[in-house]
Amino acid sequence: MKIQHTYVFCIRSLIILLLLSSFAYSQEENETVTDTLIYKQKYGLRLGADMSKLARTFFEDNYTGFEIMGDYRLTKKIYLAGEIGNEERTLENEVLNNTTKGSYFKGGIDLNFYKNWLDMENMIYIGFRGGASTFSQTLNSFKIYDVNHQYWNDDLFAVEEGTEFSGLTAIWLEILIGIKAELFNNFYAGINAQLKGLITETAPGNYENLYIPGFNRTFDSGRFGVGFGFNLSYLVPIFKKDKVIIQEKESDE
Amino acid sequence: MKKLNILILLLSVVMLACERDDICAEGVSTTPRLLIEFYDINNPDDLKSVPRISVYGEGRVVDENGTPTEPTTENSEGTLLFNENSTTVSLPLIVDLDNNDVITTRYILEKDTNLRLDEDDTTQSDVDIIEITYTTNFIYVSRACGYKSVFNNLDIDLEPVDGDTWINNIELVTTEIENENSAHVRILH
Repeated sequence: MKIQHTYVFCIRSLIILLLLSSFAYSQEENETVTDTLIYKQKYGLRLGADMSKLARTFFEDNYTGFEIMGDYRLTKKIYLAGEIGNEERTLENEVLNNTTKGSYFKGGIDLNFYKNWLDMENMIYIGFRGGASTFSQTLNSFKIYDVNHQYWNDDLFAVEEGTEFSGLTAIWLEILIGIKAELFNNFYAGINAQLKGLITETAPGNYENLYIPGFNRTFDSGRFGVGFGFNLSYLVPIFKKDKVIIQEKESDE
Repeated sequence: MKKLNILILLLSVVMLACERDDICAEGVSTTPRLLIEFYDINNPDDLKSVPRISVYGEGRVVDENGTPTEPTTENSEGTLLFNENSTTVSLPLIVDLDNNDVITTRYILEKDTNLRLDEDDTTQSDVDIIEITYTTNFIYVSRACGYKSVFNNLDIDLEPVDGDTWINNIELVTTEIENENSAHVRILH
């Protein structure tokens, strides 16, 4: 009797141990599951134009210009990007009247830092550019600044005959920050702000470059320039790549 | 949304940075005047003030009919100095076309102005006219100040009005007037 009792106890405890361990094992197995989502991402050439420059051409008397921009998606985050444009800008103040005309090219990359949801393809990006411009400046008229001019003349002495300085060039670097959002299928709108640093320029003798196409106006205080853009663009899809999202989910049981 | 806010902030900072800088600051060196200092003829290194001197451009002081006249009060328009003792005077020069033509500016230097102004008709002031000739050269300053003129090939002739002159000698320190840092001309008397 006593032996039988011990037997039963042994078997019982063994069964319980097995059950417990198998329970623990199954717990470990079913804790997480992986779920893979695949979205098709469009890669291609995006072409557009700067609307702010077009608007200024229509509404500002002293400005005519346009800019065509394009980018090409290289990888998930990196875009090859560039702009090409032409501008004519007349600056006028009390002592100078100057017209700058010329073309420019900017090339570089955009890095997308925005983690898109699902299949969206918007951008919040930082861009780097090198820019170059060839232009001419016409000094339409200028005045001789003389604080004591009123002793002899009521007005400052003015030189009205124009002088053209042609064959001017400038090279600069640019950092820009911007967004591009898909408004509807393949059609994007974007804004960006640009900070520019002038590397080199050919300035006319006894004068300076007041405005550089693409770089915008220069400042007396340094070699920096600023700019902004508002562009509309259209993506020409060339191929598609899979965007794989691996999600880990906890199982319910 | 947060990133968009940062972008808007950045844009507005860029906009605010575009301040007007087309006002010519006062400290900027622009078109200089002709600086004259008066020295003692017996002691050419020493400044000597001219008693009761009045200085005005020829034809700048006019009466109510517009005919040139002599200044009678401190407030007469066109008077640079009136009836005061001075060792120095700064003369604005006429700026004209930059075509290598010689330009002439004439100034009247009247010593002992008080003798003309007083009741006593037997004593009179001593008037000398200096004729300043020069050429202009326009130098770019900045977008706010435009160009300034400097003056080259300076020469000064003395023209006595009434036979005797109170000015004994005029010495040119330089023939190029580029700034107002130091005197360009020494007048000995």
